[in-house]
Amino acid sequence: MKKKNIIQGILWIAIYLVLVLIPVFFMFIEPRPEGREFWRELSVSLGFIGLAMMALQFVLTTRFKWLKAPYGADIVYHFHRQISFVALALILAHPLLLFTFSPDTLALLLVWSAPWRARAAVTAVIALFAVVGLSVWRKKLKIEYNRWRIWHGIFASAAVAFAMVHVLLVGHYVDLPWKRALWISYGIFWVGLLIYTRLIKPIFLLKRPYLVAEVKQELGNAWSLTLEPVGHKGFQFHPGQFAWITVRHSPFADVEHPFSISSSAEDQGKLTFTIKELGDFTSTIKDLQIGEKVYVDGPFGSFSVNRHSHAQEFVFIAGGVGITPIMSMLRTLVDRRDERKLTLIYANKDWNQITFRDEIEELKRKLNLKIVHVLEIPPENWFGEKGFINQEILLKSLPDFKQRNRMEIFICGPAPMMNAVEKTLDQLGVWAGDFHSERFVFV
Amino acid sequence: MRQKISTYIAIAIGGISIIVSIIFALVQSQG
Repeated sequence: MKKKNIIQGILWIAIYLVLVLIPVFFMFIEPRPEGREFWRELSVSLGFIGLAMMALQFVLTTRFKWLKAPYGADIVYHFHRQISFVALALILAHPLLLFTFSPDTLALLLVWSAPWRARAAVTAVIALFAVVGLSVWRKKLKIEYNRWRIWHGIFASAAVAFAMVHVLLVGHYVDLPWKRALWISYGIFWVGLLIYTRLIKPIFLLKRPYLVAEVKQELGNAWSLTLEPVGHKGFQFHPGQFAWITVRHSPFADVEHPFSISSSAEDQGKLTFTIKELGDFTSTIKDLQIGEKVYVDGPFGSFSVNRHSHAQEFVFIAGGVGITPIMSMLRTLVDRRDERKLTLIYANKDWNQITFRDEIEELKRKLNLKIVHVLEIPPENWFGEKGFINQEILLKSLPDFKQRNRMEIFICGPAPMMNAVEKTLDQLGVWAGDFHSERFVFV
Repeated sequence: MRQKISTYIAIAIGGISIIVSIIFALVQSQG
């Protein structure tokens, strides 16, 4: 399974690289326009590659399951963020090289007197700055997530559209009809992606609604929301995966939130999400009424025991509500009567904040499960682990960690906890391919 | 770790893009 994922992952990166470099390959094809000075040609080439990268950003964020499967959705989004800085640098290099080596081109910045090709370029760069700026400073600017998503899409589309207009108006490397047709078909492809995400996908979701079957309070200020499909069979998922849910809006409104599924993957049809009250939206989950309509887009993610069937042992390291996808895996393993050795290291603030506390205790009777509770503020007479998950606790709980491919470790919780645990596992010499995490940071 | 790898891949793609652009500019400016 691992080998297949690695090969698939490398293949997608190779395809991505080809798609990014394809404009330059096309520029190489004869007949080519007469060559100009080195810096001008370099500037043009960097601009074309930057534009291709920008356009491919739409593919990265469109929820194609086959694209995200080898890496996990969080890594694709992480790459989307990192490559946007690379694209911005290449695109800015395009005018900066021109201004440096042909200072007369600076006059193109005077948009009131500049030709339309320059106006389109300036607008594209402004839109691109807006895309990157709003993403980097969204939290500081206190822009609500869904509002940001809408503006992110608008500015990104504008940046690509105006850059395309710039390319076609300059016309230097798109002077031949087939080269022009190529760029226009690139544009049609992006419009097609937009139509898919904004129209086709919402229609599909609208036809497959779910109804709220139960809203149950859990320890740790969390709520379990159970949904039942109406007029369809729901979807199959791997335990540990997540889905985007839309409540109180139509799927066309594009107001979605990602949550981990906490129910067993063997209990097909019904879906349970366990959601901790953390912000505006999560605080309204408890107010959902039985029978209320909900739309679910999923499943997504590669954080699952299903991808590591070879493992002789599973270790789950959870912090707070990070138990949710792990609970789905544990419940599934119960339903499958799995007899492998399991260890759950579960960190919480105090004894009364432990979501699923009683059910987890119950699971000990059904699974070969060892539980290590780690409490930041333990009660009196507590003999268990105290403080945070550290090297000492991991060493005690994972005696066979150095044997590659034997034990698969799943980590889910707040970002500082995940960073610390990953760093410690790395220091202990655990092979990076043996531990897995998924992060819900999409901006 | 996976995030670090994806950052390195993004940087590598940027580096390859620059190298390909330089090759193109060298060929085109001499042609």
